[in-house]
Amino acid sequence: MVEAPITRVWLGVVSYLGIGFAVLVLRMLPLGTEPIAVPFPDIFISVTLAWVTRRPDLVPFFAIAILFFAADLLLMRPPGLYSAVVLIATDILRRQTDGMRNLPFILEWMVIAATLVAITVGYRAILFVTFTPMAPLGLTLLQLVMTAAFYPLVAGILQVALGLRKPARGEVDTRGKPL
Amino acid sequence: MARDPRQKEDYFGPLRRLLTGVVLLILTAFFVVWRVDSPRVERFRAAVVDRFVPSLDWMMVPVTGTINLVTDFRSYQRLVEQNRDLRRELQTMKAWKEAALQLEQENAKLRDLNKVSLDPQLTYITGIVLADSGSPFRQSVLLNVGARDGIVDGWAAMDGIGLVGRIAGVGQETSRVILLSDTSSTIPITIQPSGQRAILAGDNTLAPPIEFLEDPDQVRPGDRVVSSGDGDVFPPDLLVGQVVLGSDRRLRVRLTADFERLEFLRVLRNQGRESIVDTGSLIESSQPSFEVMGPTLETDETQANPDG
Repeated sequence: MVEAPITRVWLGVVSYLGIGFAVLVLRMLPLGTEPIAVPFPDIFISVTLAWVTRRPDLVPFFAIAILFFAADLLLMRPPGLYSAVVLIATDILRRQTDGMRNLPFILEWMVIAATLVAITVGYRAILFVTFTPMAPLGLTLLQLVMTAAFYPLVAGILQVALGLRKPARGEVDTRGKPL
Repeated sequence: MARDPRQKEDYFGPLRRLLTGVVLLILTAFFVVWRVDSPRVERFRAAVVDRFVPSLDWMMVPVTGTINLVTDFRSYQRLVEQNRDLRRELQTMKAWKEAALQLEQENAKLRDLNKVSLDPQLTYITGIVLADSGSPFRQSVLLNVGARDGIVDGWAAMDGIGLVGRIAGVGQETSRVILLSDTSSTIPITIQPSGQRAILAGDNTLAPPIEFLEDPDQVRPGDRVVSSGDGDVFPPDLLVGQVVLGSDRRLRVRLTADFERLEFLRVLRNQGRESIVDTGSLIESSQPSFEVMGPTLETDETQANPDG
């Protein structure tokens, strides 16, 4: 416990940014350039949601904004919109984390799934209202289901590899402040 | 609840909320500007990709290489089976080679008779695929050639054999190719023996459907599909694929280019064709042009005479 708590927070932020960046680059590798029938789950958003539910103090909103805006630009999405929707969703989720602390995992999973649905619906609604061309609905729904289905795996890997878990009640950080 | 965990937010809460609001506003403004003035923001996007992706090369190339190595290794396990398949394929290919040689000779003869000169302006620039779109909804790849190499929006990109897509978005060092399978890709095509014109509209599958076909009865599965020069989108007669009948009874095109692994793409320089815009000046044209026409007609006749 020599290190200052502020360093640990930054470590958390940096590892979130690093993982997000790595996922983004992995997605852009020119491995399969043919269209696929079943889209891969969107690991990017599941990582973010898992992180926000578990340790909201380690994912400042600007980290989410930067990563998702970069993804918007690189993945040819309408710039800014998806990041704004995700930012709002994570902010709402962030306020619920106190209530979610003692939830069993199944319920947490359902909350995350609902958040994913809300993000998709909100995103597509705005695209629809502004007459922006959209991705086919079937593919989007498939990807939504895949992302929700793979959430436990993503959360599990994060927990095992990085020790990312919900702090227990009464747990304090190194400075003695309650988490 | 004397020690409410939310207590710590009391100091930073308002400031944080304000900052979140500002960031949200910026993001929304970006989207609105994009919706209103798309080309400018797309240029900004191209510039960002231009800065960002080539500098990731050191990381992306080894990872791609390693993963491809693993896939290749897996394919070694099926080597015997593959060998047998290849041998069978080779047999068929030999037959085709014979046919091709005969056709080539015939073609050469005919061309000689016809005095055709192939379009000398149709040269190409070869680029390496840097990255794909990264999203299951978009079919596009990023090439390592850009405005620096003279790439222009709208040029056609091919792999060795078939058409792959068209350039949409050019940065200084990179350019994006929208593949034929992308939902926003529509190109004019000609279906070969019957010569019918149609539109090939991508739909996120490897076999895009044919649309606006005048008479489907004249088209049979197996027909060759080439690009048509309509609307000056592409140079004519680039091989696109073969007509197949999809499982939904629609006519589709199985693309000839190997979309499974696009590594190198050729971007065809297309200078556009000259077009005739006005009807006028033939009758009232000045004397010299008749003088030019006269001798050439005579020489044509003199050349034609010995043949006949």
